[in-house]
Amino acid sequence: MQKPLTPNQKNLQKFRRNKTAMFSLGVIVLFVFMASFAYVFIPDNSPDANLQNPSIAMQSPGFKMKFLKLKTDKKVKTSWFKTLFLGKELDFKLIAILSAEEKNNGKILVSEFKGKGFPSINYELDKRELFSENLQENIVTKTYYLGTDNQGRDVLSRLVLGSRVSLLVGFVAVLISSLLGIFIGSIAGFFRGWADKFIMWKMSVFWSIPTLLLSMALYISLKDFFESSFVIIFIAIGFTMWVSMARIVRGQILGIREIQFVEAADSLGFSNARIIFKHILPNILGPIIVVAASNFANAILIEAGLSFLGLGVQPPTPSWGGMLNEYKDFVGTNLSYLALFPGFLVMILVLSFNLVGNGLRDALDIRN
Amino acid sequence: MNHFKIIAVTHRDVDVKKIGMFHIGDDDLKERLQHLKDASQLNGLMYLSTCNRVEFMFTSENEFNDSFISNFFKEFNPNWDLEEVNWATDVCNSYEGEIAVEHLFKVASSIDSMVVGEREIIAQVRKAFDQSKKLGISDDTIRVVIRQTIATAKQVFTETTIATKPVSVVSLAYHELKKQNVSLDARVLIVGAGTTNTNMSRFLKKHGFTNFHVFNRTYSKAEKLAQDVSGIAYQLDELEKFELGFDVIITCTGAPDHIIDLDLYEQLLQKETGRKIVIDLSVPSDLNPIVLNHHDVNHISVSHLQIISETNLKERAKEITIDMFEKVQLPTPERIFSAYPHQLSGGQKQRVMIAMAMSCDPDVLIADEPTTALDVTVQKTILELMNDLKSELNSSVIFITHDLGVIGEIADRVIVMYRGNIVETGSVLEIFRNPKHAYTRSLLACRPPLGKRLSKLPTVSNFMQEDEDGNITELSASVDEVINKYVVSDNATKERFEKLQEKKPILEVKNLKTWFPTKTNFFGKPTEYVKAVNDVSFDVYEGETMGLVGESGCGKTTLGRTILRLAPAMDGEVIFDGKNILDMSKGDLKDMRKDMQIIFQDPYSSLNPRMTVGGAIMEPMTVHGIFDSQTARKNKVNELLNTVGLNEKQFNRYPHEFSGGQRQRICIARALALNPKFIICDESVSALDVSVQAQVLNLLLELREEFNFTYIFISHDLSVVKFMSDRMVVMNKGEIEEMGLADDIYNNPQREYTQGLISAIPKGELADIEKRILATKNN
Repeated sequence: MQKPLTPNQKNLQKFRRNKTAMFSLGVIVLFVFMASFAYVFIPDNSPDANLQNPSIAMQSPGFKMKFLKLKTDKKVKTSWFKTLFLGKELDFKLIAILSAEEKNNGKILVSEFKGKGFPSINYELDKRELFSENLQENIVTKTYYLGTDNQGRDVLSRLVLGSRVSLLVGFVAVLISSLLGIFIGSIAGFFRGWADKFIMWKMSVFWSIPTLLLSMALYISLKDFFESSFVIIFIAIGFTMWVSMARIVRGQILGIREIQFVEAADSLGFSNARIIFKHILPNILGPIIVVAASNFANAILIEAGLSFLGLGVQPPTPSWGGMLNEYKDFVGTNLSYLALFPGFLVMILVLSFNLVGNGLRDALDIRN
Repeated sequence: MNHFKIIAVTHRDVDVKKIGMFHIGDDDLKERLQHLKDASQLNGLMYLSTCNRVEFMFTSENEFNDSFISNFFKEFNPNWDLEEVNWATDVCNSYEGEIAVEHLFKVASSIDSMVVGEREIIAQVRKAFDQSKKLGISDDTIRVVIRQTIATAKQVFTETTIATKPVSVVSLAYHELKKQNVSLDARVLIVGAGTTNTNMSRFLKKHGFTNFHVFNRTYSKAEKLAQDVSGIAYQLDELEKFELGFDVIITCTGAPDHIIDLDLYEQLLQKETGRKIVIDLSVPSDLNPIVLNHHDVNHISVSHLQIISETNLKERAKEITIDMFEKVQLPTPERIFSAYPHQLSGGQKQRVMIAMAMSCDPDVLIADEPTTALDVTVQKTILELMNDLKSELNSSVIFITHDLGVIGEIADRVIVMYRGNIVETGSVLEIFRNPKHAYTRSLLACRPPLGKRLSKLPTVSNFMQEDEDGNITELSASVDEVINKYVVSDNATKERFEKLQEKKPILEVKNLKTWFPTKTNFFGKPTEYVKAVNDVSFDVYEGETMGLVGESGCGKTTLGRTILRLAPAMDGEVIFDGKNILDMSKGDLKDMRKDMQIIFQDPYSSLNPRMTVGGAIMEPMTVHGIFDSQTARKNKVNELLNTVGLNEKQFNRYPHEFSGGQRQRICIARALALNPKFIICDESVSALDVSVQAQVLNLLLELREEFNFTYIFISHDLSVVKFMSDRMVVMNKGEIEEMGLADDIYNNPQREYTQGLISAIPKGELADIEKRILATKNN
């Protein structure tokens, strides 16, 4: 006889059959992979993909350019681990060139590119200024698949790196809001009485403030206490979203409290904490996961909103909201795509999370 | 006289649909026919199972496969034919004016394809009806007009269709006879009821058959259904007035299952000639009652109401509803009409459900354990109501229950089912008087008997043994033999009680009050209370079982919970082992929990579904620090699993893999994990079938012997409480009604309330059943 499936296995099976949700999950996994190992494959793997070169600003997609490596004084210490997660700082300088020829006198004739519509400048360089001995080794050709922005940075690299902010903010904010929400919701739902009334009242107040406004307020008031803009965003968004989690946890606990096994646990002398964590919470994991998924999508949207208003992650760290803000003036010109790309990516990621959330809701059979 | 019968199906594990009487799927039918073909070695067999139209035909010449069926449908257009017209006429003849038209429309709306004739008939009837109403003609006249219209239409229809199109099942039979080259002088037997018979004989006569016999027997709808369900076929002795040895048998009875009686056919058929033909036309002379019920009750009742009056549909529906409520004896039907379910009591809800089912005027009402969740007193009134209704509305009732006591109160005929098979059928008297199958005997025996005191209850294993493959070995013991084996003498009971009283009471409840506030004033101070437990005092001696009985809402569960401090007490004392539980600090309370345990009513919800069984039993030991290591605890869990009759392999299973009885065993094991002295069983067996209930009760008794537990046994079922307890307390409205030795209270109840409780118990005693059956017959 086949062993009957546990409730979890059944739900998983149901979720697997939902093609849209599975596809969305695939998209999310792809994004997570892309974000984690971004520096391995993006063309500009300098920290924050921030290699600026005004002379090649605002080039269209597919643009190709030759560069000459020159020596600098900068000493860079690096390890592969640091390169993988934080990018590789360059220990040379790059200049855009049309051509470079070695002359008999040991000098090098360089024709430097100064931008579209500007005449190139020809001058001679001492061979010692080159990064390495051989001239050919110092000439590199780069392709900008999605063109460059107004500071000559690679748009593709910045877009890929931007997903890091969105995903990280989403993850940490969901973590914070879930912990907070589950804790507060449990207290309200389990103890009921005046604790519940007080918390419900607080939640109603929180609920009435527009989300973006609330996180803006939190962001601004937290600015003086923390150095890193990341931490501020985590807290600002996490503390904004706990209400939805707390409400659902409270409602679920109110219902499940009435089921006899909770009373049975009480009669066996278990502590309240044990009853909540070991007996109640595992049984309402389904709704919690669903709310967490939709919170994830919300967090990404709020972060993009904050960045767009200039309150998000500070430059030069690329974020989709920030890029939207930077390039919003190009909308309507032939450079519209600069603003459209990040917007589109935000849309895809949020949609994926919402679809996964819907799939989970169907699989776990939770009524709205 | 009430000639309708009731069939009772027992054993709740059986899904009614599985009985196979209502809908025979293609596969099932195919298999049966194949079986029939092999078994009977007939060379011509035709089977038609229909509700108003032809569904299947089978001959031995063709392979019975899909292409054959599709060809068949291509050949014969399953349209309405002569019979249905005749049927409609019958309906009109038997009903009064307006209702006749309703019924006609009912038929019309249930048939998806109609030939021209019916449309015309219906249109004409409708026209006649409308016009007569407008003219203010009386109902009687309308009836005559309708009858006339239909008769005319029928005539026209008959003349045009009968000879030309082989659409009717009647002509199909003829068609088949011709195909088989049956000569015109063959001996044909037509078995069946109603108009089909007459049509058949008329039709055969018309086509030159001379030698046919009609066995006409009219069955009531209920009887016909009874045949379907139990597979009872026509008895040979009924047919013996005909000379046996027919060439062809045509049956048209509306009962698909009687085809299984092969012996009968064998005996009836001409053996020498080698030609054996059975034509089975299962054409009901009325709409198939079950199909009517199960696919279009709502649809039809609304649509035909619309025809009557499109404007005041809502008012009419309300009128009917309130009328129905009155019929099911609901108090203040007007108020209940606008009440929400939670505002009604359990019994009232059940009455509304019955009204709902009855509103469609069903021929068969299937009642699936309708009284299992109710108190005995309410159960009694519901059973009385159903008895009244079935005779008043002429409905048949299939009453499904696990409790043979209830069967004794209501059923005419009984079907006992075990593991999906019918093991025994018979009239209710036969079953109670002389139960044949071991399982029936065990069902009869495992109800706690009221007159005697037993040391343990008989269970299924006393009557039959089942090996791992599911083969059953029946033991020959009779019910009385087994019961007598366990009887305890009155002296032994007295001795036990005297011995118990030598020790000090382990639990003393003094003036306990649990009041729940229902209204509070402006400052949050309660002004009104529900007095769930009001001034209750009693003692429980060590090793004793104290029974607590009363209707639901009498406060017995709250009392149990208050003793354990799961519900807050208002006032009073609960002294356990010298200490007042109500004053205990949190730490003391935790220690107290080790000594006092509770086993809840619902085994399905009192286990955490996300925890393995082993984990659930082990957890209290971990929390209370019993044993030093997890391995020691694990060993203890395995030991406990064995104690309650489960095994070690089940340690890592989840609760949903167990049946209700097994789950209750797990709950018991969990309660035992803490080595308690005192256990409160709160309706612990009320949700279980009687056979499982007996096993769990026996387990509790064994544990009492082994560990010297003290029990408080709470239940609404007086028979169970009486079986378990030394003394019992009868509670009513939060107060103690009566208290004393269990046997004394049962044999000699002092209070009216107690007497009511005792008389409401379905006793399942032969004398009572005989009295009831006699009473029905005399009506």
